[in-house]
Amino acid sequence: MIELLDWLIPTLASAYVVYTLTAIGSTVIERSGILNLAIDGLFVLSSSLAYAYAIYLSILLQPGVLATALSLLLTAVTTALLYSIYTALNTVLPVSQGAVGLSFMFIGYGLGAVVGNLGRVLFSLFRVRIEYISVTQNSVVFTYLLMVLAAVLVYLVLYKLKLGVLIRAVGEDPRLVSQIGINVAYVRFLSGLLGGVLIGIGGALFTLWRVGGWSQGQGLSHGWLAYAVSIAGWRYPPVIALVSVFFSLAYVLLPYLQSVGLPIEISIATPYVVSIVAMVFVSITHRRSVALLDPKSLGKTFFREEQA
Amino acid sequence: MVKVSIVVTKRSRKSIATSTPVILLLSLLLGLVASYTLIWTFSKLDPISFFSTFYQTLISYTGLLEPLLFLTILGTAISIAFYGSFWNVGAEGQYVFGMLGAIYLVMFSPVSEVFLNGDSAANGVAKLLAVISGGLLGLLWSLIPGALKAYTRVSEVPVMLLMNYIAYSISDYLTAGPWKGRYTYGYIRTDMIPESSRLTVISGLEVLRYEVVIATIAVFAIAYLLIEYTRLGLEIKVLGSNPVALKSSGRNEKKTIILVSAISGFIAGLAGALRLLGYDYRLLYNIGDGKTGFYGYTAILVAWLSFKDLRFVIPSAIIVSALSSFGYRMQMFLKELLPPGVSAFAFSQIFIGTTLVVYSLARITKEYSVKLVVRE
Amino acid sequence: MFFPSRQSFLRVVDVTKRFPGVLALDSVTLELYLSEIHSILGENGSGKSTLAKVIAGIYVPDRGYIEILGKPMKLLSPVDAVNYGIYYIPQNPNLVERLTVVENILIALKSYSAFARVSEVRSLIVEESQKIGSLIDPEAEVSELSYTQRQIVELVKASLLRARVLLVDEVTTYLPTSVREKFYSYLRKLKSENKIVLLITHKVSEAVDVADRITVMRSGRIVKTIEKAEFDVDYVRKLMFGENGYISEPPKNVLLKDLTTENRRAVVKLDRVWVISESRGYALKDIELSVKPGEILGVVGISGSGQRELAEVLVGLRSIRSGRYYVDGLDVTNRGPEAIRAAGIGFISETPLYHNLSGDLSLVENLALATYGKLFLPLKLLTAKTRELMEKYGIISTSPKTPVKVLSGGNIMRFTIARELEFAKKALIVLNPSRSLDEKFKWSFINTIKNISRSTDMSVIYISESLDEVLQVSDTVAVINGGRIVGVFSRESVEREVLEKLMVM
Repeated sequence: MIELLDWLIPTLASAYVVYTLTAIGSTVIERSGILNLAIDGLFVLSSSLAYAYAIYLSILLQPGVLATALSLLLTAVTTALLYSIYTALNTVLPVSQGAVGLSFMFIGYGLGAVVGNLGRVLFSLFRVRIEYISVTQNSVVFTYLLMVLAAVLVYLVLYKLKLGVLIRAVGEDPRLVSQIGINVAYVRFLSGLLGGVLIGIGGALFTLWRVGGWSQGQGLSHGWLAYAVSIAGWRYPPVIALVSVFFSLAYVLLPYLQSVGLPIEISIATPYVVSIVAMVFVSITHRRSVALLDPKSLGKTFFREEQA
Repeated sequence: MVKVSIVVTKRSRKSIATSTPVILLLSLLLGLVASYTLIWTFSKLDPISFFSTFYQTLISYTGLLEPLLFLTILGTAISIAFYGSFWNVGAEGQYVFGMLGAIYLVMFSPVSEVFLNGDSAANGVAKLLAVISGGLLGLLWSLIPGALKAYTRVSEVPVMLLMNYIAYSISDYLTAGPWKGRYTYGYIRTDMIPESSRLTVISGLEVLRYEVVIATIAVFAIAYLLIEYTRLGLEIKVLGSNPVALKSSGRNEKKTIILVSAISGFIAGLAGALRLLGYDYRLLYNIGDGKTGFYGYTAILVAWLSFKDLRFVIPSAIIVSALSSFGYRMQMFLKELLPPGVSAFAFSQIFIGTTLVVYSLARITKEYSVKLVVRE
Repeated sequence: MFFPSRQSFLRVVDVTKRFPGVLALDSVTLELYLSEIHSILGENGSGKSTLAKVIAGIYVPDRGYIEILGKPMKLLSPVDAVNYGIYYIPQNPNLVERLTVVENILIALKSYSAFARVSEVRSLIVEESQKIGSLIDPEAEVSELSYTQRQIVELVKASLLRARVLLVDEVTTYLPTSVREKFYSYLRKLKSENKIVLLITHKVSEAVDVADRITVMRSGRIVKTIEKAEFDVDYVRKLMFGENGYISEPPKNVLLKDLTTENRRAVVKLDRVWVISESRGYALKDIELSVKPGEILGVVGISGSGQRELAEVLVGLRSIRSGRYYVDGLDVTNRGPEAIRAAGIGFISETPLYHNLSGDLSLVENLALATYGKLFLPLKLLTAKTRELMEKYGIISTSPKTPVKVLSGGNIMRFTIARELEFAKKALIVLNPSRSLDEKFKWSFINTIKNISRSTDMSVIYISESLDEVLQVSDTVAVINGGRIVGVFSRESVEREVLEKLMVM
């Protein structure tokens, strides 16, 4: 039992951080009315980028905390830029958000494979060691506090600052907001930056902490798992921080159901089942507070001019 | 200060420059250029090798025929769903379920007896049953997100993408468990299906099977009739363009969503069954590692390129077949110029993604005029 | 430095704007001077709102441009317009429903950075709304506010923005008299502060009373701009409706039906119906309505009083929280549109492309949707039928196979009317049909409805924002206000003033 806890507590912390940050990032983007179908692709890409950056920086500087921290930072910046392109593109032109989202998903998968393999090549040439993140039992509590802090910060930005009001306003009724002289594309660009930073850190920590390495197909489907957390948390940061505990626990533990007799192939699939069930559950529950409702214009093509 | 702004207005008349064929070709061309740029950033790939290899892919038409047929069937399946705004990104899972349905009927059901000692007529009927059983399993798998969308309004996109993984898992479970073969030289896979249950190779064009060609034509023709001439087709189109109008004219929106998901899933399942009976002959373990050829995903691009116009499914399928074969061909002939270790499908994904994004941008010119304006 | 008495601030230069099937603005040129209240006067569909939206940068003109202080603005976006102090207040307030008052105002204020706190502007709003003379709770969610309160929020916003040019689009139409007076004095104050007010209205009296100059528009063209000295109600009316003096006087050729003697069962009956609103609370409260065969019931109320929700309930698009809904004595509560439609109830909506038709599909297919064909569509028959309806209702379309969305708003409405009259057997629900109909067709439509209802015993529920229309068409008039039916009257026994009072109460 003690051994199990020794393993579980830090593992759970790493999963919790990854899914919470990614889910909150996705929330920021979807609150601005942009359907985040790109999430799985860009999550894969950012987790591969983190690996490539980490290898490269470990060669350039030397393996250590600095190289890891820098690669985390660079991944966050790169993902933020990609997401801001994504959100702005979906707004400047009256495109189908679904099609553009799936495009970015595919490109993310493809480039993720390219980038990750580049990291591998560098590794095979230089045999450099990456300083992966790990936490001791004692610092786990600190990790959770940090996440609560992140959730509260994003909550404050979204609900107490003008920036957040703008993001939610363009998610509700972009045409109306554009008519009062607000540049909708710019607001969504900012939401892409903010959300992208969080998803980028999430993806990077998946490689640098949760897995501690990179292999083909790294991160695949974990973007969707985080997306499910964001929906199950009603796209509301404090709720996400809360429900993410249960999801992380499920995602970490369920694949080990094989030890109680479930076939391994089926236990691997259980997190997906949990995600689907959660999304269904959330959509049939009645939401009393307006803040918990889906953004009204989520996924809708934006075109400023419309015949009266 | 110079400001560049993009001005979008509704277009009042049509022009040839924005007709579907032009947009398709433009998307292919610009998509390739964009893909090349992306890959070039990470490799030593020169444009001449890249584009000449693509040209080689195009003219090796026999290599394209096989993906073309499967992408036409799957593309039709997804297109029908798109008409009804049922974003079937789960064709990959339905395709796998189609394989399961077919192999079950051929090897593990009472019908399997027929293939061991039946006459050729009985074999033919049993084969047809196997294909239909694949279709039905595809239908079943697609009905889940369909019913969830209809009754709980859960978005089908994330649900289906997650369900694809579950489908892989179920297939792997069966392959490693109850359906595990005895004559597999230690590999985890099912046994081969009996010769008598396999589809008929066309002599002279060994990459083709008679039944697959016939099924492709039949599926496409029936789908076209359905969409253009029947009430159900009309209701699917209204569901996709304005569900409120569908409801207020007294039709059942939920029923239509479920029907469209069922039809789409059935056709995708057929494709899986045909694949198994005509080409694969068995299930392999870790089917999600590319053993499906990822046709179910690639076909999403076919459906987008022919968006709500079935006539363009085949031209789009040609383009997409070329793009997906291109990945494998590049891997084969340009290996030393490419970043090492990257799978052919990863390149295909880049082609699919860039072509789709270029296409989505180009397509808006059908309805809108976009101008770049420079001001001081 | 010498200032001429009239200082031009903004010029609209040769602006043309075309929408599918309509020439909304046809070479419009207009000059606005500082310190004036300038009225744009015209009927519905004369292009006055389009003009205002071009000035506000919302619409991009196909030809022509806006000039500010002599500088041509080749491409004006709403962002530029607001930067130049141009602010547009539409008839339906530009407020995000699910945000609070303070949030709505904060996002419009350029002087606050993205990192400003929401709480910073709270006191400012209280102060400003007191100045205008009507206190607004800054923390209230917009969806909870009444129409008048929303307009006051818009005014607070405009004053905090220190707008130099205020475009007010039919804002006063539904304001109660007391508020309207406050509003006019506010406009005069703006004028005294050297600002420009563009007052867009279809009411001749309002333009004549409030404006310094009037520009009359008809069919997308400017008829004339006249000075205060020339103001004369009859003259202005003539400019507005054309030289042949066509006045939108409705014909009165069908007699009202005497319903008192009839003792027949209601065709459509709502029994204490409550309906939940999208944002919060109830959209419809305790609605009691019933219509007898051949009766025309008019339901009138100002915009946003629950008309749309009422129509949607009657068609089955909205679910009923409590109460019952009967068609011909049959309980159809929450049984969906299938049951209601099967009973032969037609529906003509103010937004046919939202409620009735699929814009992407052809006229033929849209006709098929409501009428013929069980398994296969009889395309030949449908095409012939479509041609017939096009002829009969004067629907202009290149072919029956044209997608509906490329038709003009008026033609789309005509087609909807044609299809639904073809379909409806028992009752017809009509929601604000006149929005996209020209005057002439509007009255002929009203006559058609009356005639059909008289000759076939079809019941009609005519839901509208226009008291004129409702008084014209109805046997019985019900007033809806804040989601409640606040009064039901027989047409002959009720005074117009009584209804008006109930509407804004």
